[in-house]
Amino acid sequence: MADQQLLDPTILQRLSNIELVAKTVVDGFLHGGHRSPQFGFSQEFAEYRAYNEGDDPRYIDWNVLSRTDRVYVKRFLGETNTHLMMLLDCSASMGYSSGGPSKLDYARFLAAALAYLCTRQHDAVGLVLFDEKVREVRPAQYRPRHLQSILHVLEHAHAATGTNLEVPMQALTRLMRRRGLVAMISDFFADPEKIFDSLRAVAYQGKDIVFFHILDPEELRPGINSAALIEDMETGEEMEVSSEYARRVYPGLVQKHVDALRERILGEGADYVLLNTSEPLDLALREYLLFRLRRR
Amino acid sequence: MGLLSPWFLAGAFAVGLPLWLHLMRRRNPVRLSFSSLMFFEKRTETTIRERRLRYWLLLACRLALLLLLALAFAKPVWERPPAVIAGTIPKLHFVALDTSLSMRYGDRWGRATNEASEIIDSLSQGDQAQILTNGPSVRVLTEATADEATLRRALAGLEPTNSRNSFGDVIEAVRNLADDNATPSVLHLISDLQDSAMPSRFQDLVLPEASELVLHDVASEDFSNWAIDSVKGSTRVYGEETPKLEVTVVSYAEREAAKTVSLWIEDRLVGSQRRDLAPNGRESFVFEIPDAPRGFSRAELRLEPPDDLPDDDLRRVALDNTEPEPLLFVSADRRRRDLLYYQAALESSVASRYTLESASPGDASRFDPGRYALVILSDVPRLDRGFESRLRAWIEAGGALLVAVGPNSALARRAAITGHSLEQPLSSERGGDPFQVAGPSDESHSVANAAEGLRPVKFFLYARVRPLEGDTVPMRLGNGDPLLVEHQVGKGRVLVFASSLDNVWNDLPVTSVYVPFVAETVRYLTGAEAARGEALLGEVLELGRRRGSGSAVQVLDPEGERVLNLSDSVSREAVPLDAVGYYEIRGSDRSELLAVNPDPRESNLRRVEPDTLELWQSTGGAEVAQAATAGMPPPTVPPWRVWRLVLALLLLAVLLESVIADRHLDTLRGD
Repeated sequence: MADQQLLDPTILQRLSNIELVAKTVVDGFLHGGHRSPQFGFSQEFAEYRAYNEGDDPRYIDWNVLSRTDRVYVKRFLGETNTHLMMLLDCSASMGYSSGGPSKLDYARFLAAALAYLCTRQHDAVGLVLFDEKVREVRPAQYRPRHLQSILHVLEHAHAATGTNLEVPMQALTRLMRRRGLVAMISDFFADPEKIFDSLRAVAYQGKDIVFFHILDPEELRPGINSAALIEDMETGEEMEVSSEYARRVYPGLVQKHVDALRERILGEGADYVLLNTSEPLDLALREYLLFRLRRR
Repeated sequence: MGLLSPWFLAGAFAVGLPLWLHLMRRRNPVRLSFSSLMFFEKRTETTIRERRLRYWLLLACRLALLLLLALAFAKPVWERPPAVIAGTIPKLHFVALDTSLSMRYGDRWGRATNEASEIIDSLSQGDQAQILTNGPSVRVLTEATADEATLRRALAGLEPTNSRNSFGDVIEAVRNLADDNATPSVLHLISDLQDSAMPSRFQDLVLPEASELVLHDVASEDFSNWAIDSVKGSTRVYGEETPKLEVTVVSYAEREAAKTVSLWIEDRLVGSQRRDLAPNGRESFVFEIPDAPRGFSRAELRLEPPDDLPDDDLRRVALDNTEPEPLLFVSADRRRRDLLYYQAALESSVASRYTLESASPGDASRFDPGRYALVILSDVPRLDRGFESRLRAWIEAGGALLVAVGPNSALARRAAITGHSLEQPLSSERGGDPFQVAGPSDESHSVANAAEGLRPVKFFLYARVRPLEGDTVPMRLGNGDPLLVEHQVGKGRVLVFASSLDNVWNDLPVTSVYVPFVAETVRYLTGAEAARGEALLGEVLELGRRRGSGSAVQVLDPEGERVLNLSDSVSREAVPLDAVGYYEIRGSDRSELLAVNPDPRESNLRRVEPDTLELWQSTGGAEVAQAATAGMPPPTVPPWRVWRLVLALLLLAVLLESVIADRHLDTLRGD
């Protein structure tokens, strides 16, 4: 249970070392009560299990079958032939926080955890930080010290200016020429059509993409109690907003946006995960591992 | 509007608190940084306005609450003027109904009562009304009241009478009533607006100040009426005379009509005559009565066929077939010129009614004054004491005396019987003028009126009569000295003439006014108006001469009812004739019959000219009434306690504020 609590973003926010955060998250996730889909990703033997209909016959242990006339399949910890490229949005809107960790913090924790997990599973992992343009790039590699490089970049990431989702996609085509996994982490406050235009270009290259859509609880249901003068964190534009509108109209529009994103993303063969910064990170890790399993 | 506790109004400054709170809240919205305005649409501005509107409503409720609270503590009261109480300026409405004879014509009376009812219906709140009738005299039927039931009860029993209408009397009555009330008044005159009801002087029609005249004309445009206008002739027959009556019938119609006039005496037809009456014409019918019964008899003149106003188609006359009355002429003139002139004048006018007996002052003691209708003392300085005492007693008991001054009486410097002081005969030469002429006279006095004030007469000599207390001077000379002085001795009436009855001191006997002067003095002093045989409704019957010395007189009205009680029968001097028919006057020595008829002027249905009516209405007017209202003293109306209404409004404001604020707070909780 203590490990479970460590997955709480508000607790992770107190940890100053991003590596520690990553370890805490991944270890907590792997040793927790959650049913983990980690098996089968590496060459390290894990266990035998009675064959069930639908199991891949490649994993049947023929030696055991010949000795005991019973069919068992071997199970392994994982494989290391997967590349994961993380695209992390560092725009100004990602710096929004309604009290807990900001979306950028939550995204950093998520990216660090994914990098740590990949490293443990011998996957190559890379990182692109972007806002209106690409800020930092770490190509996908599998080296022990590469994780430290990625964590260092994440530790110093900060919210900057606007958002341009085409920029990381263009960089991705240069950095990742073979098939692999792409994790786009952003709040996606952009025109969905532009997102999909860039998505298609990547998807046609044979890459599998998962979109981690990170939103603050206030962005889903604003707690504006009175007329408020709201300032756009990216453009600086101001607008007076009534609580009535924020309470009745805004949530519907956001939900509509989320639904549209999910529908279009799934329609393009990608995965979509909506993450609330008030929720633990294990959901994100679980979704990632399931995604990886499906794409394998 | 006033405040019983004005200092509490200072609490109104508390409105600054909600004002400050609301304005601060409105001007400083919460500034928030948000990740994106992507999902905030432009129409959010509209929503902001709605929110502001709700805030303003809440602010207004809170401001009203505080202001009303402060106002309630200040206890406002409203000093209400009457105009504000009623919504309009309250007025006193005089509803004057014409109940004269002419209102019986056609449907005039029905229309008049309808008009009166509508006036009552239209009274505004705060208005009062008073019902008046103007026939036979102005009668006030109600006090000024706003109670419609009272007013309608007064109207319920009204009927038109046989009397004459007089607009002057109405205005005078309204003027008296309006003087007692400072409220602006409106006179509603419901009448057929007969021209004959107009007074001789337009000044008598001037409305009282702050009053308005509203005319309700109930007359129809077309009318046709025929009436017996007058009956002249010898209604009193002396000896073997044959009475002759001249009846004048007048037409107030635009068409010719055949009319029959018949004379009935004691319900016996004496004769009838038929004539064609020209449109708006007159026709005379003469009837002779060869066998007039002795004593008094009831005669009626009937006009047939009857028209729409039948009440003026009958004329009553009391015929009196009796002995002539004697007059005693006492003169000190040995040549009897005064007697000569006086007797000639008397015979020229009312000869058959009177016989004139003459005597010198020395012989007068042989005569009993009680036998005579009138005693004339012409230039008599003194009388026999016995006769003088009898004469004085007779006059005090109701007798009549004419004293004419002459050279002899002037020398005595004292008039007989009356004791008036006489100064030396005054010659106009002493004043520089060869003669004096009559000056201004009292036209209302019948003698002065009949003799035209003796204006054609030249008075070469006269004695200055010093009037005693209570005397009246109907006629004066041009220099202001009395010419005719009326003196009252007990119940009797005395006229003192300041010059002689012959042609020595003046040229009166040879002027045209001598005969009417003699006739009218006799008629006036003897009360001969009763002998006319008829009187008009509304006139007064004088009883003094008929009563005699210490005796009673009784009057029976046309219904045979006694008019006077026992006390009045010995003391009352006059009785109003307020019913049409035959009055019977029972005196000490004889009874009389007097016929009372409606005033013939009521038969003329011609309306007053519109210009005259317009001028009449302009004498008052609403402007004057309103101007007078401005100067009226404030009425004693209890002030209206406005703070009760303020408290009610305060409660309402609290409820509204609670509802609106609750909705607003509910929004916040939902957020």
